[in-house]
Amino acid sequence: MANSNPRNAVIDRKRPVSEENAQSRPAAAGRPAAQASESVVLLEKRRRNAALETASSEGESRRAKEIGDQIGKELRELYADLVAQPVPERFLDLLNELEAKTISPPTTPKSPGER
Amino acid sequence: MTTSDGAMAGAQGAKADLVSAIPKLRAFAVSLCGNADRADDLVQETLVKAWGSLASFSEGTNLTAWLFTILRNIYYSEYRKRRRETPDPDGAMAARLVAPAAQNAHMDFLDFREALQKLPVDQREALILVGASGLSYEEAASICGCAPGTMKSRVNRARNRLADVLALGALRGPGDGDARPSAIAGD
Repeated sequence: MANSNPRNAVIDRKRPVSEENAQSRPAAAGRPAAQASESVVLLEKRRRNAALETASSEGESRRAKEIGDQIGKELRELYADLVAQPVPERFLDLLNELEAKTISPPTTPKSPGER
Repeated sequence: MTTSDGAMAGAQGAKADLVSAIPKLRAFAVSLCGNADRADDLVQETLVKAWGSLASFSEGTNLTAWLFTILRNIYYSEYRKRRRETPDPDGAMAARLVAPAAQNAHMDFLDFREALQKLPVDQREALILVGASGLSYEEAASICGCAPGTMKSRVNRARNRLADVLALGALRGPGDGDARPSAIAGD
């Protein structure tokens, strides 16, 4: 609450000055002091906003990193679970069969009674 | 001549290599198609094809990557075929994903696998190859026949999508609050 009041004051003050600038540029050039204080206020405001943004984006990026780490962990766990499953017999049988064929290629490759 | 001895030794060596690659092949196959039975059919076809073309495998290169490439090609030709026949109901696929319930330590576990299964297949395989199986972007890219940069952007898009899902899950509710102590302590 206390914070918002000075900010409003800055905005209120800014409007007439910039309107005046738009209306009579030569006159504005003759008032460097007013412009200087105006830009100091604007700079200060910008600095404060930037600080706020950095704070929230730091929180966000920390959270994004947490989620990213979690994704990596889940992926590795999923893969590890799958890799840890026992190899079904059917694959070992299949490879034995393929191997047997390679070592002693049958003279009649696809005779019906062979398997 | 010891041709048959050589052939025997070669075949035995090849068989042993293939046997030791089977768990990874199954993991990749399940991750791709989300269905354990279909995954094993894919692995079987891959083994037969690999055995038949062992001569084209250059010794000293990554056997797993070579096998993944074969499996992936079979999957995509089959996938295209099946897609014309019956569209895959995502939910049913996800439900059949091999997920040992006993090891379900986190509340996000099933959410995560479901979300993974709902990713577009190119993103999912990118994530599995790079994020889970530990291949480099370059190896994964050569398996998928794309540029490493494309692989990187697929991985990033997949991660962002999963992050959105997980973030929503975290917002959605205190299913079991103690499952995420780090998130609570962090905030």
